[in-house]
Amino acid sequence: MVKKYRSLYFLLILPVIHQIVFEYLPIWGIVLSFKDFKFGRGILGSEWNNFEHYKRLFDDYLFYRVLGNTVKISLLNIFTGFIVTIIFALLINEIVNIKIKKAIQTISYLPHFISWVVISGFVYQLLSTEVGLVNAVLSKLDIIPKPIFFMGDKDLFVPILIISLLWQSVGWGSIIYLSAIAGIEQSQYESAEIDGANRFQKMVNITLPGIMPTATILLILAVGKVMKVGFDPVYNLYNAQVMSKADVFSTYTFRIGILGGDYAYSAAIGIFQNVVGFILVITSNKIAKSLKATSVF
Amino acid sequence: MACKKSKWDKAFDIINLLLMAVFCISIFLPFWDMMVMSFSEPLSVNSLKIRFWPEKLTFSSYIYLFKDDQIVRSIIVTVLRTVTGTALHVVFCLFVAYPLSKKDLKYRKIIILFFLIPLYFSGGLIPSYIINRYIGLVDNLLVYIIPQAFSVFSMLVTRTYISTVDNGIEESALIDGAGYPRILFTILIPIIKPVLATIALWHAVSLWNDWFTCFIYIKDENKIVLQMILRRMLDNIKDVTSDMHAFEMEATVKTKIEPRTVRAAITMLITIPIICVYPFLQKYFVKGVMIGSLKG
Repeated sequence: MVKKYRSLYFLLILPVIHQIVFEYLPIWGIVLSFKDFKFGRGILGSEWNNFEHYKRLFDDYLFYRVLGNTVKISLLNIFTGFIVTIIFALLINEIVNIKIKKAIQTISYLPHFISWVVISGFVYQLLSTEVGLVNAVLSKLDIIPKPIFFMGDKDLFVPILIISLLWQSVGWGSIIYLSAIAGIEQSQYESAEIDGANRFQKMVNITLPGIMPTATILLILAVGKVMKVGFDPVYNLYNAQVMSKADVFSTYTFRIGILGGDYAYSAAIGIFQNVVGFILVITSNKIAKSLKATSVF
Repeated sequence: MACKKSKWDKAFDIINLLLMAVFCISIFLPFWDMMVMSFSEPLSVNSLKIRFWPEKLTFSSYIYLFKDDQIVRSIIVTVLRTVTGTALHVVFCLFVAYPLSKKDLKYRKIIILFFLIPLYFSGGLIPSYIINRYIGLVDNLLVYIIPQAFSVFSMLVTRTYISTVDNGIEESALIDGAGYPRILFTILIPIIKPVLATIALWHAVSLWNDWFTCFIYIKDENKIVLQMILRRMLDNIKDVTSDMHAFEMEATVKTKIEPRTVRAAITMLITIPIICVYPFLQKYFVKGVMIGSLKG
């Protein structure tokens, strides 16, 4: 068999080398978090330092702040995303006119392809105190006496972030639910019609339970990723004034590591995050798999 | 009874369409607001007004952009990077997907595991950054295309698609004496074009949108990408809004404060290509998600 496919093994060579260099070498590179790492001396040449970075981790009050923010933002994002995406998919499914339906779907996917640099530009402009549309409308309607400085308000950062994330992800996220809805048996709707159910009742009593198995699995898988809040949205939206409510693992390790040059400590934080994340993902995958197995029957 | 039912349904339809209209407006509004800004006179926009249309239509911001050498150069770098990076990505994913689509390939399980492990456990940002520095990717244009050349997800999508292809054609070609590489290039690639288009588009968009690689690896001003220029301008607004931003200043060379209209014009320059090609290509995007979800 090896001989028959020899030419195919050749195809694999470059990608395998690529994986080794860009995935497996960095995994080995984790050892630098156990060392007094100096860039000039190399990963191998640096001295071991007796878990100093990990001891420091648990005394770092910023670490606890980052942990709290990460979990909070993650959970809020997961649950709002879950609910809003399902509602959106249900409503899209109820549109009778196929052309309008297709058009709305197409529009709804668009933000998924826009970079966070651009999205945060939108947010900063819309909420600006000098030229922002939101402040302009609110003052025109005499709702506020003077422009609100949205982006500088600590308590508004998380809501703004969550809304931006929803704006970007709801349409794209609905694809998978719409394909689950397409798999629901038509006969269920027909018999409900005979019983005199209206559209809303059918949506709540047939479509919604129909997509619940898919939804549950997606939710569990999402909770497994609770330690990961995307770098891009937070980094592009936050600023020094809202830091205390906005800083998450990805932005913190980036700031102290790449910008601050404290590589080993930053790597240690990253590894804490990865290990906890790994355990959560494996657990959630196991739960999701067992649910999938039972939902077949 | 029948009449009452249809009344309910009609009300539901109207409310539903209204909600959808609001949703669509919320998607378009930021783009529109930005576009109006980009076509406005720089001085006319410094006030809190509702603008649905530029007070005076002008192209001055766009002209300014195309006169700036650095911006023109960054457009060239971005386009080249997107094209070459996408080509490389497709080749890499195909080179893994094709062998792994052979169910009787020896060591297949181990090879799949080898590619899947990094999906669950990775070294993280810092070790990757350090390794890439040691192998000389700092200020090297290859950093734009090489580290992201392979993606497990795209590979799995491609492999799933290949395994749906009827392998009768392949067997007859084998009997005619064609080797596997020839089958791949002359027979298989034309058949699996749709999935290749899908992964190519995904990757093209992510390369086009990526600023982070440039941010951390590129110090040479001649090699930066368009998104990075916009990102710096974003820092400028943040400077106005916040007094302390020292940690970012270390990494970002301080640029001159640009008028808002110029920033808006760059934003348009970045998003318009995506918006233009998007309606024609979105079926490919969505198709890929379907193939991917079947797998998962």
